[in-house]
Amino acid sequence: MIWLLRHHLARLSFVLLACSLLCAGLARAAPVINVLVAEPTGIYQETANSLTQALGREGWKVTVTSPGRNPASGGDLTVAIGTKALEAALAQPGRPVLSLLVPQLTYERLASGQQQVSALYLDQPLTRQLRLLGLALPGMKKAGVPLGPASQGLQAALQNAAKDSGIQVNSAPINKGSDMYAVLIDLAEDSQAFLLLPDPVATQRSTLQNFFLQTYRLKKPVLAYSAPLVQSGALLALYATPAQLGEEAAAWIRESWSKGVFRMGEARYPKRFTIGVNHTVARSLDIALPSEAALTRQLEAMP
Amino acid sequence: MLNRSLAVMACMPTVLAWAAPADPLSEMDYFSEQPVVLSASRLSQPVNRAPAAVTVITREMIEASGFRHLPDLLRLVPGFQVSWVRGNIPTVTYQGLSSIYSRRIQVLVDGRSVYNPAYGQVQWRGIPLALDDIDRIEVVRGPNAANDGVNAVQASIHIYTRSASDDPGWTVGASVGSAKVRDGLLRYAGASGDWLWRVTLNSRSDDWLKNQRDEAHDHLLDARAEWRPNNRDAVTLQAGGVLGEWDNSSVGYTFSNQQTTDFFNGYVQARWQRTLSTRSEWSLLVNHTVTRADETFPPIPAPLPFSGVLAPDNLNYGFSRSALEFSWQGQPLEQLRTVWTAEARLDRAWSASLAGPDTHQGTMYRLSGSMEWNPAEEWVLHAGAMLEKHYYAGTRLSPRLAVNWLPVPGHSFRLGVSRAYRSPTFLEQESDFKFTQAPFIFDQRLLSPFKLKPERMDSVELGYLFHLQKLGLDLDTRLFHNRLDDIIDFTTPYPVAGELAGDGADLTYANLYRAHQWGGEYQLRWQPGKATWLALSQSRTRIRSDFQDLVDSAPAQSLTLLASHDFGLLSGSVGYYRVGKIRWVGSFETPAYDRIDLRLSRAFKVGNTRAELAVVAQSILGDYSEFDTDRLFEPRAYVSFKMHF
Repeated sequence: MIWLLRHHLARLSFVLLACSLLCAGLARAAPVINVLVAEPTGIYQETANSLTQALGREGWKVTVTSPGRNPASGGDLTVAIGTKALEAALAQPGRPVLSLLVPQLTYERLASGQQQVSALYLDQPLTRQLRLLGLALPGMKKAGVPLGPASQGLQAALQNAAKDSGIQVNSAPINKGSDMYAVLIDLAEDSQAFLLLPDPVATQRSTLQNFFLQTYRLKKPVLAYSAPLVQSGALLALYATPAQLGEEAAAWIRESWSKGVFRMGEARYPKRFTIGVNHTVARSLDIALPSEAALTRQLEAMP
Repeated sequence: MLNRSLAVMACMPTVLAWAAPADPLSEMDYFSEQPVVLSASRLSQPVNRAPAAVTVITREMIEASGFRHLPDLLRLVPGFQVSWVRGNIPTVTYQGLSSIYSRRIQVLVDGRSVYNPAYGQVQWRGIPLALDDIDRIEVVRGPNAANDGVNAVQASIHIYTRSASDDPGWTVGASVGSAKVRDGLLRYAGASGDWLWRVTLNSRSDDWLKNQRDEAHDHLLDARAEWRPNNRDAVTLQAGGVLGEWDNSSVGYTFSNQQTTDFFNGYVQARWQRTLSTRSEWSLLVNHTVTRADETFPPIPAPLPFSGVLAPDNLNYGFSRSALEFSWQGQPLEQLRTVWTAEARLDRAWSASLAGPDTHQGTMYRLSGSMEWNPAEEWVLHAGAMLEKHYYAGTRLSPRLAVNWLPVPGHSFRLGVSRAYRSPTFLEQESDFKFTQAPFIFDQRLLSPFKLKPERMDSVELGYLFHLQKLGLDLDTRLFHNRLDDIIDFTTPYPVAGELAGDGADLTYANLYRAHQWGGEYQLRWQPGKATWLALSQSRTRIRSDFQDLVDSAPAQSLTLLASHDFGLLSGSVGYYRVGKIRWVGSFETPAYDRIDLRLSRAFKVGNTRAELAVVAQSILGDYSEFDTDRLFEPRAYVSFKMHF
């Protein structure tokens, strides 16, 4: 009887041991993600929420901190949301970093030469932007692009995008806000629409006001890169929302976790996007646009 | 030249030199709040969805026309007649019905009325506005009283000046030609922080009509500053003045060959615009205008057996206007847009010679509302009304109802009905012009013994618009019928006690006539390519009235063509204007005329300096008359040079 009890106890302890070993193994399998937000508010929090919700559903452990607070130590991957967060994450090398909400040019400047760092850019690919112009405005052949000092690095990429999309690009430099007027007049001669790219000089408040007033006077529609610019006066905008970026990053993180390590691969543009339309401007310019849903479907179907 | 430079840029993207150091981009460049720039008030309504027929005169039309004066530009609008009674009395009407005082057209410059409450017309030469500073002119053909109130009866002209952000830097220009054409222009537009500003100096001189003493010199200063302290507010401050030195009278009464006019008009205006959202904004507008004309002539000797001279020896007059306007635009529902406006105005006028020693003044209060409702994509319904309490016209309601039907893309129809009032002017209601030598009245010329009612016009119109983008074609047609009642004009002599001439007041004003007006017109714009465009318009009118002068006051037909082509090295444009036989009310018949103007220009670009040399020839077919038969506009040419850096 005692032998039988011992036998059962031995089996029980074996099962318990096996269970604890399995649990430990499982614990090792779920990585620890540290999310570093530039600020614990607004777009950063929105992106972090969308990311943690998507990963939380899988039972992954995600902690959220901001650079000013005590950063979480250890962890398998740091997701840096925002430029300040990326700078802080890069200051502590040795751990994989995924950058979110940072424009491509800024990311490349900050992270060049760094190992184990990747990014889901904030910007939409230029080819997609030009293709949207082509889909929205039939007969669209040439787009004018005023380029401020910060967007100079996109010149070559713009020409490649022009080849890929079949929409030609005329670009001209804006070195200071007062250049905008003359540049728009010049570009308008040979462009059916304008593409506005982010740049602190070109989009400074007074310059931006002049930009929209002048393009409207020239009766040329504008494709911009953010939701607030649709309110400002752009006919169209192509952008990814913080929620979209968070979800897409979560999916990418899940796919990149293999055999206990993260292999994030090359930094890339988001696959997801939102199309914003200013119907009042469309009506005033007498432009009959396809619906946002139709434009989204057509754009998604493109490679 | 430009295309080549752009092509070079596109081929060599990597060799570009960038002067300014690049500030790094951050996510805030994507997400931070931005100003609502193209708010509802800045977006013009597409013409196929507008409640009335609209002609827009653009900058390229202004430049291609070769015209040097604002009223001449209105030749480009179908149905408009422009006549230079003298070099300082240009007069403009739409579909006739006008004497040299065209009193049924409202004119607003950046929302400020430049309608003269003393005489009723617009002193076009006396507006402190350089042609170079005009952004566009929107002309509502037909009544627009539901929006612009009294006096927007036959048409309403909205002139918008260029933003201070346009063409930053210096602009210097000069024109020299026959008919004593001498023009000068100096403008500077700059920016600093949240401020933008522009200052323009402009002088214009010419000797308009052949064998008439009507040399005129205008010197004007116009300034504008825009302050945009944040994303929601925009404050625009404007001030300007014009000094005119004109031979002869500016009001049409000539008593001596030595009569001259020293004219001054000055204004200040401030507008505060707050954008609450893309759908909602309000603005507050305040302005003050003052005008003074000193017209002296050598005293007229008293007839024998009296001695000495008669009074007056001048036709001096002045007027001022102060206005305060609050306007709110909103979109309470997706398909419904509304505009509400409240305004108070104070008009004052004085002319001891023409209207007695008192300063006459009157206040006016207005409340207007309009809505645009899109129940379905192909239907737009407009309803609007202006309720006014006017010092002479009384309390009046000017409503308008219109519907646009857009059955298929490119085609639209418009049906509209409206009512508009024209208030009596100070001169019509208060005139008391007599030659005296105290205590005697020698001759009573003008008198206003009757309480006048406002003129009323009821109008119905049908429009059809066609647009074919592929061919660059826009057609706008309009059929209309107007009924005018209580038309004010001069009547038979009125007895004046003690008048030595014994024939009573020569002229008195009264509500006398009625008229019916029918017509049709079209405007066609065709732009087959970037280098070529043309604007063609034609108009036919018929008037029935119990007053023959009104019947004869519109040409049976008129035609305007302005065409422009860029040849590469040179740009050329031609303007052709044909106006049928016309007799301005109270004048003699003017035969039909054809006028052709030519303009050739060459643009240069050296570094950051842009320049243009142009030659303009006007009326190359020979002399013609626009008013009576003896006031001849002779062929003339001028050369102009403009530089911007």
